[in-house]
Amino acid sequence: MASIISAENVSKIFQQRVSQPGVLGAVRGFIAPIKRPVPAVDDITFSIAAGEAVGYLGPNGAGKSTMIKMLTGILAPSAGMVTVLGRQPQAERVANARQIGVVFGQRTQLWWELPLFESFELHRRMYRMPADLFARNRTDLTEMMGLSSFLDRPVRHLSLGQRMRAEIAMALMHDPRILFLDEPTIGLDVVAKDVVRKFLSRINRERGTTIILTTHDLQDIEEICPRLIMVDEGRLLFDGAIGELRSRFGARRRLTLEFVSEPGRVRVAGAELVGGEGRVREFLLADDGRSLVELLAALEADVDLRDVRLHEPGIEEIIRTHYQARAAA
Amino acid sequence: MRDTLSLLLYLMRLRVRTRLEFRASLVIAWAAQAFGYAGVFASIWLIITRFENIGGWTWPQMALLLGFHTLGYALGACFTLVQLRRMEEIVLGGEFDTLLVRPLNPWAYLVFSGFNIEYGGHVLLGAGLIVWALPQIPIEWDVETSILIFGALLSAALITASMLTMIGACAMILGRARYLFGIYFDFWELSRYPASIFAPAFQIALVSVMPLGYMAYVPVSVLLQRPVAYLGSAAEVAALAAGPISVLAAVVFWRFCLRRYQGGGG
Amino acid sequence: MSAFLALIRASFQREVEHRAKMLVRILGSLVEIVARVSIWQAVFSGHGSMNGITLSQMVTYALIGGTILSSWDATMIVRDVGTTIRTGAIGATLLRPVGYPLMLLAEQLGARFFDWLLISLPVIAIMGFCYGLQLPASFGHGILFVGFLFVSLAVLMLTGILLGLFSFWVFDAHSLEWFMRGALATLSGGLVPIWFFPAGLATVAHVLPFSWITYHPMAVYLGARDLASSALYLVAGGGWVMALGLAVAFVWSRACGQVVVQGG
Repeated sequence: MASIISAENVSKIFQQRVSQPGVLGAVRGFIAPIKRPVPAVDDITFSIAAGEAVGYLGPNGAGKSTMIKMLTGILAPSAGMVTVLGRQPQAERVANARQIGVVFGQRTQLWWELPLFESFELHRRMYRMPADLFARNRTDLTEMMGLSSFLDRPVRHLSLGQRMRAEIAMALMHDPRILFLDEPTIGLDVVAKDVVRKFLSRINRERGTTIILTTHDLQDIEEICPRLIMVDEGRLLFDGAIGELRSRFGARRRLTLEFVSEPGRVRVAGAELVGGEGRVREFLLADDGRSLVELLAALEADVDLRDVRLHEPGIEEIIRTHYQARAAA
Repeated sequence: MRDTLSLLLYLMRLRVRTRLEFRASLVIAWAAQAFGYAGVFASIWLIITRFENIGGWTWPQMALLLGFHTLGYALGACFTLVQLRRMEEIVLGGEFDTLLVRPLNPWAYLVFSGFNIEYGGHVLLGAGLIVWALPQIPIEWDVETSILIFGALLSAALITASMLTMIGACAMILGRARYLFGIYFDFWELSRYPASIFAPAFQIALVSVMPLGYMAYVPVSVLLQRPVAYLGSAAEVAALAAGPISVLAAVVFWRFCLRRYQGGGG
Repeated sequence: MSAFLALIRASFQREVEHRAKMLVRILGSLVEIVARVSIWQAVFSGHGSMNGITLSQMVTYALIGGTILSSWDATMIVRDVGTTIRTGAIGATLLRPVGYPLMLLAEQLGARFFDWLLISLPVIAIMGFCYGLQLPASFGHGILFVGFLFVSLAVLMLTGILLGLFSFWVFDAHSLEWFMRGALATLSGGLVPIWFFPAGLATVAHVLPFSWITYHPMAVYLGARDLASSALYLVAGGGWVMALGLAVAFVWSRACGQVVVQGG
């Protein structure tokens, strides 16, 4: 499949003003500010094909939003090249805007004081949509997102969950080829999150809309995005299928054995004893794909087992372990 | 082009409709703001009843000056003041980013979607003063004077909109801009008096870098056939050209700031 | 009382943090004073004195009346009260140990003292150097002027709070603020002293409390009245402060009832 989004050695360096002490410093800062370069995105390269759903993940300040801003035409890269649908988004901002949809989780694009349908009508005019296309999309999206009960209510009276559904529906109204979502589930309750996730993966499947989303919540990515791009401190850490994450970061399964009494010396072939006291022993397993039955067959112990647990680390745990290791280093 | 224009008009209609939901409060706001300015103008009137004139300007002449100043300002500010004074919050809160992902010029969106009809009081007060003052002033009515009156009002509106745009644009590079509006309003208040009473430095500033002298003083002086220092016979053309020139400056400055925009709200 | 002082100090400190803003405000105040002085220079150019008032006296009137005793920006207090009421933050203020009007007064005083110290005084010094500043007519007038200063402040603040509290019942505070601005612009004698008013209007303006904001203090400062009658005016001003204070207390007690009724 052809790539519709690409980033080639992209960097974004912000010039941060350094505040200077004292009244004179404030004056000097106003006239000739001292600036310090802060790289928010540092030499990142990736490419995304039409129809993909990609999670863009990283801790606060990792440069997620900055990348989204470069892809949506808000900012220009300091170095490297960003291409979206064959264009440089910032240079051709308006043309780019017509073919993408953008949802900001923490900011509304709806008209606060007016009924929801007025925002849709404004959207139709802004994107110069043909009447029939608008009518069809409006009906479909209203139904899929369950908006009909509050379509004529002023936006300021909607709950956060209702509003987010409306934001996403509006962002899709003009049939964008790509949908960008910046923290779309932030602040939502469990039910609302679920609705949003199901809807997004359905849109990706049925309409083939390419989805790029940034999030803190890994469940968003697990349910929507087969592919994950991880960044930290502006640099690319990982780009690939979620399943590959485990082998890449060497996250191993953990076997916990509990015995009926103090077991003494315990061995499991191909596993490393890492802890446990009293009647409990813990092992880290080699990444060899052995089943639990095979593992127990390899157990050498004098005492009977009472309980066995095999723990598969979730991606959240893998990532947390990674970031903790980085923080410690 | 036509599509864009009709979209902008639609944005204006939406804003007006929103504001009209609270009709009573709107009318009171008109009255209140007109009363606020009328209080200041009354003080000026009091000075003239006692001293006959201010720098040679009688009350009807002064009323015409105040009328131009108020009306021209209102016509420009209704498109700009309230929304661009918020630029600081718009930028810091990330709202500006949401404007940049729409297929429309963000300035046009802000200006038209924020069209503010609260200036009704200003318009009535300003127009009222002009209509009251004009018959009492010997003016030879011809095409030129009519062009001057309407052209100068338009020019004043454009100056207002341009200056407020430039101040608001500072938020894109400085983050903060709100306090800068204070300077504008201090000079704006200065410009409601005949500039000839001020020290030369202020007079020069008011017809050059701080072009608020063209809001009312220059065009009304031309109407009254008074000499305008530093401009002389160019005063009339300058009064009409000041608006378009300041628009050009504002466009250049806005783009300059937009190029340096670094995104807001994390 | 210590809570009251702490509030004054806190809002004072908050102001100190905004230095850049302060420079801008000094500049703005300078521009405003230039405008006022220019007006008086222009109108006095054809007259040696008017009603016994000289240009030099009017320059002093403009310098002090346009800074320490000005009313235009102080009307912000109306908006502050209105915002507190509209956003429902008023409910939280009921939980505090200090009454809301008193708290408001403390906050406003902090901000006002800041203005006096860091904006008004530099501006008076600079402009006084340029245009000349008269000293109080006598030592006694100077002492009385200090008393008038506090009456002026109290009348201004109490009027603002009173109007602000009205936004419990009537239209938005923003409009009330503009009405207050318009009324004070003339009736306080802020720009034009009541000496120059036509007779009828002068009588009305004289007895209304607003003239204690700028006009009466300046009349005493410039020695337009002897000490005895100045003292009498000070007492009358004190009476107005009491009356306004009682009015605020009364309106506030009614407003509290309103908050409870609204379940705010």
